[in-house]
Amino acid sequence: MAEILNRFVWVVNVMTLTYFTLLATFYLVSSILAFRFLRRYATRLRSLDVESLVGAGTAPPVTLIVPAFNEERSCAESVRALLTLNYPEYEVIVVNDGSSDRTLEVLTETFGLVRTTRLPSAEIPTAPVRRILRSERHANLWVIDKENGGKSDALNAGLNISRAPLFCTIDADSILEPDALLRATRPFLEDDRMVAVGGIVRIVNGSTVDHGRVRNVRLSTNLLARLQVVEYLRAFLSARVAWSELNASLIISGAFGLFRRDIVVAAGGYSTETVGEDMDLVIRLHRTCRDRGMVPRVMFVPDPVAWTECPETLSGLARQRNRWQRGLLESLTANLGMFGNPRYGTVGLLAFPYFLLLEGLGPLIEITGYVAFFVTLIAGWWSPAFVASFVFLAIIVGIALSAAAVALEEMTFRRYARWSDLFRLFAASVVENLGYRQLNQWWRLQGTIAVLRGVRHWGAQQRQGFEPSAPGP
Amino acid sequence: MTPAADLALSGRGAGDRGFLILFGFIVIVTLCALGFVLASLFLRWRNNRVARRWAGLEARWDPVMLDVLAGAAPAAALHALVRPPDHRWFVEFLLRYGRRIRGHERDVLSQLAAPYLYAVSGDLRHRSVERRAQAVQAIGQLGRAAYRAELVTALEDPAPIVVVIAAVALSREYRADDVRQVIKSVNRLELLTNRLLVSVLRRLGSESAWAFREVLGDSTQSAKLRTVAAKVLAHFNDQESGPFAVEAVDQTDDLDLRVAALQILERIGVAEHLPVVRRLAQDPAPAVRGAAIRILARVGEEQDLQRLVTALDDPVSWVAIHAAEGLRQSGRTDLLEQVAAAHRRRSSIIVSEVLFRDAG
Repeated sequence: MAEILNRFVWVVNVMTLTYFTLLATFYLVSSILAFRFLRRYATRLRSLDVESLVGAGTAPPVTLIVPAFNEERSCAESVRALLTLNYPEYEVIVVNDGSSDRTLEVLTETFGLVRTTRLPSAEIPTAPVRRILRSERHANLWVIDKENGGKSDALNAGLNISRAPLFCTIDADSILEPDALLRATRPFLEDDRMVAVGGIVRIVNGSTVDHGRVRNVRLSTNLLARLQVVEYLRAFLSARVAWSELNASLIISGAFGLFRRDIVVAAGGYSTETVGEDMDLVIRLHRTCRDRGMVPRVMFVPDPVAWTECPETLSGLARQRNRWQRGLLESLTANLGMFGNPRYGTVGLLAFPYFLLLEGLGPLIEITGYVAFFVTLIAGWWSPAFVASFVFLAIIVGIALSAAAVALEEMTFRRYARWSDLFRLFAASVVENLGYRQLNQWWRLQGTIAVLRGVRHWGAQQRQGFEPSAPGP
Repeated sequence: MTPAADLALSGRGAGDRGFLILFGFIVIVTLCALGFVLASLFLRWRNNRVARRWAGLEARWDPVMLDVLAGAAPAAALHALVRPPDHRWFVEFLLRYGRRIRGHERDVLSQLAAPYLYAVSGDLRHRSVERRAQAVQAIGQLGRAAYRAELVTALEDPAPIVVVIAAVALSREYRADDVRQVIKSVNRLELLTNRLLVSVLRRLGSESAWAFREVLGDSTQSAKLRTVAAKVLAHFNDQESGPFAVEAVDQTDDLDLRVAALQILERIGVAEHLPVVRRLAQDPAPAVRGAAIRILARVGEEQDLQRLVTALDDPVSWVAIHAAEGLRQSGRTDLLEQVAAAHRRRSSIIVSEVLFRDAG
């Protein structure tokens, strides 16, 4: 019996260390690629006057689609900010997805909504639309009031009545920086093959928001929020930049993404069969385009910013990570035919295997690995080399990579201007790998189990609402 | 199996080699982590220093700069404040102003920049694309006259970004001998969207319309270049391009080009174009039908109103919307009201939407 257990633990240990090594290698390579790209990009931004290049007459019209479900606390401020973006021609479509709170009332009172009609330009099936409203004060603001059908359904309803060649999705609790659309549109002008562009999502917790604008960027005093800042920096400035460089991006965050409308409609819009509708859409865009003989470009650009509120409680974070993992697995399994398929280029040969094997199965491998590690210690089967390699790969490499992400931020955008914030970010890079990441994997493992059990709901979300600026004198 | 995974076997007697590899790896990654931390601290220190230097230079230059722009002080007063190590910074300082001002004040900036542009012109042949782009941007904004030949050469640059910036710079003022070269450079920018190319080329101004008519009328040119030329001519409202547009619509199968040519007729179309346009209002391609409907709404006769009303029931909603907007713009809201009252559901929705827009 002991021999069988020993054999099993040995296999798990080998698998875990192989997994950690591959993951570390990927992140090291992606950090190097990201460093090269971001350095070039920062210089390029200095040589380009984005506003004159994408100014009036050049910028394609954009529809902003904002799905809103029970967002009464933040929707007015978010929409107000969206109406003052620096962009020549755009409209905002807020989709009230059967909210049970006062979201619709708040929007109606704040923006003077009246009932109107609008001919759909696409016919993607959605839950019934109750009415279409339009603001009497802002000619470019529309609201769709519909029965609840989930985020994807709400996005499809917005897509059905949008007419601009590009549409942008943004969460109702997120804030776009004034020039974010201008910056995100630029890649569409520079490359005819561009089908989707994602901007960076930054965490607003701790910063001051005034009239829908982030005024004073600070790190939150909440430890969980700070750890997520480091996590987001690593995900966006390292991993997404690298995938974008390889033209193999599989994710454009639902909180801020810009898409070509005709291609998305041709791909059938958002899938309502997954909670990871953002990833699923990007995968299907790759598939649809390649199946039609077109090589699409999906790009991440680091300068257009959307600020979003992150969970500050363990339960909120657990729900979010559980949902992300379910979305990831559902999106990948729904498109399994792309796995290792050369027809889909780097997406099929590199990105898909990475996301399925290292991200999708990662939590299962890692959590099993931690259990096997402790069994190895308790049973006395360990050697110093094994313990050192495990600790090194599970923790030290993680710290190095998080520190690299902070360095990339400092090299490029420097949003956290205070020295104290910089030191806190480094501290968070260490702490993140001492419990937080392992906890994350545990929540994601629960998400994996939920997928196997067929769970498909979003889970309740708690919003703090934006921190208002200090009252004036 | 990776070396690290191999070490899992170490309890079963794996050798020292693996341990040494692992130890080396640990040292390297730990040093990398420390390196990243130190690099960040250094970058923060350097960036703060740069910010302080900028603040100091701006405090020194800004007041005199405003006087020079207002004509209250000579350029020499500002030049006296620029020390040799600050030459490149001064060019950057002027570029920042250049983005905010127009007209005569731009000429003043060029005069101010002239003695210092040498500091960036060396980068025109730099191996980094971004450095070349930056240099072309600076030269293009502040030294177009003196460095015109270099800008024309930059149109041959292998990097599209450099070509676009050079084309934008050269398009800021009309020079007959440069126009053909600027337009030709577009052929090398096939990945850029027509929208961006049009925005670059239309800066050449309507004096250059002759060159675009040449391109539109030349069937040996690429469809993309002819499409861009047609869009630029439409933007210029070029009255002489009508025959070129009609010919392009009739003689090509390229959808983008046909629609772009119709855009010219939408701007400058007259009664003599109506027979062609009426025929195209029945075209199988919705984009062509829609464009033709827009022209009918603008220059059509009484008999064309019925065509617009019929188009309200076009199977493609875009065409129907163009028809409704056309009727509204022609002042025939009475016809729209009649359609709305007829309760044909789809066209009623379009009409209500268009009328709401009118009310709004």
